[in-house]
Amino acid sequence: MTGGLVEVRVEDEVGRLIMNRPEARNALSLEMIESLHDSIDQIRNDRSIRVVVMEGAGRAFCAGMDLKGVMDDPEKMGDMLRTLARVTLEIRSISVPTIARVQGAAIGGGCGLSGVCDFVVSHPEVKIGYPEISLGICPAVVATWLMLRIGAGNARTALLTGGLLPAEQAFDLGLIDRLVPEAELDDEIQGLVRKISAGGPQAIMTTKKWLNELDGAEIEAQVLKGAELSAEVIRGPEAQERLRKVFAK
Amino acid sequence: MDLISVSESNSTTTLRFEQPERRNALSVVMLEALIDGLDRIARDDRGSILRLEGAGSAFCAGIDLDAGRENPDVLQRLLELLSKSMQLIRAMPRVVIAQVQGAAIAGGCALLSACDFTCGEPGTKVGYPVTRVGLSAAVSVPTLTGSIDSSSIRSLLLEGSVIDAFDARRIGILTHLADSVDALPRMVDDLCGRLSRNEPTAMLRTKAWLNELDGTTEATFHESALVRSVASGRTDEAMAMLKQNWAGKEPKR
Repeated sequence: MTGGLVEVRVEDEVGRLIMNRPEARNALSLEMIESLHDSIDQIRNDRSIRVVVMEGAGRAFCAGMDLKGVMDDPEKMGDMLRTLARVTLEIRSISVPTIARVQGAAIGGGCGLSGVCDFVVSHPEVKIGYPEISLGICPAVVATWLMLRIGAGNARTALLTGGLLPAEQAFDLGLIDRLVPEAELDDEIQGLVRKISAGGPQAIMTTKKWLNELDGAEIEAQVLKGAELSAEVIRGPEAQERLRKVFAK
Repeated sequence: MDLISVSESNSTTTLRFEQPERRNALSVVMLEALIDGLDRIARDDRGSILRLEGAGSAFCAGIDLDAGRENPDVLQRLLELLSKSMQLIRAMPRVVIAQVQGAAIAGGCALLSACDFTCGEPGTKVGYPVTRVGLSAAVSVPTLTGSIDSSSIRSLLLEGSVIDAFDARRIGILTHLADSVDALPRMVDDLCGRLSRNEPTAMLRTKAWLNELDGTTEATFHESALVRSVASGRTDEAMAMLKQNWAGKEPKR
């Protein structure tokens, strides 16, 4: 599939899931999140794929939720959060290893998408983090995944502080697994793909399945409950007022 | 002089231990005053940040074991009050920041583990040297699990050693480390300023959600941990080791 909001390309047993809205730095509109859902389905049904690389066309991986487009419709904001929550669960459930190729920016929901992948490869200039609470938004959807990725204490510090993190700090925390110069991102990912592909496919899928089980039996309920909580907070007067001020600038 | 003081500034409330001559050790009356202060702050919805401080050279030197000299039952009361304090801090409908100069030992370290942010300085020392007097620091486990990883918890509680500020930062029991003790209050001021710019509802709902996810406000978890610490203090081994410890010191008046 090419030319849509999300493209899927399969080459040499690698499935590329490409967010394709570069003019908006791949900000997540409801349509784009729904396209991600469809594309992940396509990836999951292709048994030839050994590794999935999630990426963003243009200068940024993903600038976060595109809330400006639904500023006057808090209910639609809630729908976006619920659909995003489902998409994070779908990415996690992909049976083969997933790699996020994070260039430029992975902010808020974008950082949530990269964080749910098995590997995050990025570069020192990347803008990464969770500025939600300064916008009046509760990052409850991503909190569950972040806690699994970097631990409860670090997740608490990152989410309650808000704002972006220097790439080195994100690397130290485990939000980024491999930090290389931007020009070397593709080489690094190719090396990682080769290494993964050298392993036995069944062994890798069995291991990933077990690791997903260790995420906990409650994970789906937690992520979906997080979406409802985020939706409730974003409908509130404080969040709406803060967002109006931000978008009026 | 009151055992604790409470003051307000903008969206931040500061609760300070005021017994520097005892390095803010946690006696029964001190813990009761702390709980009373925390209760009142939790009911006051005018602010979004709570700052915990200790007057003098130490944040808090731990529970006052000397109080058990004449009546060993006091140890159980101290542990119960400590557990209650930790639960109140964790569930506090505010973001809680500890400003930790010098020692935060045993009960002091337990209080730290319940905070959202912990700011130290190069002279900060944390740890649980209570196994040396036959006690288990199990009471601190529920909030430690929400702060640091499992291997660090095992190392801290089973080894019973005190670690320096740099190791504390490395394992995450300190979330921030100032360059010097003089720079510490400014670092905490800056953090309070930054947090006060966040939208309070989003921040506090996020805190509540994190508490739910990490299970650190589960009452049954705290009760189970408390039972274990209390039981450790009732063994012959603990009584013998505590007596040995008390014999090495003159009673504090």
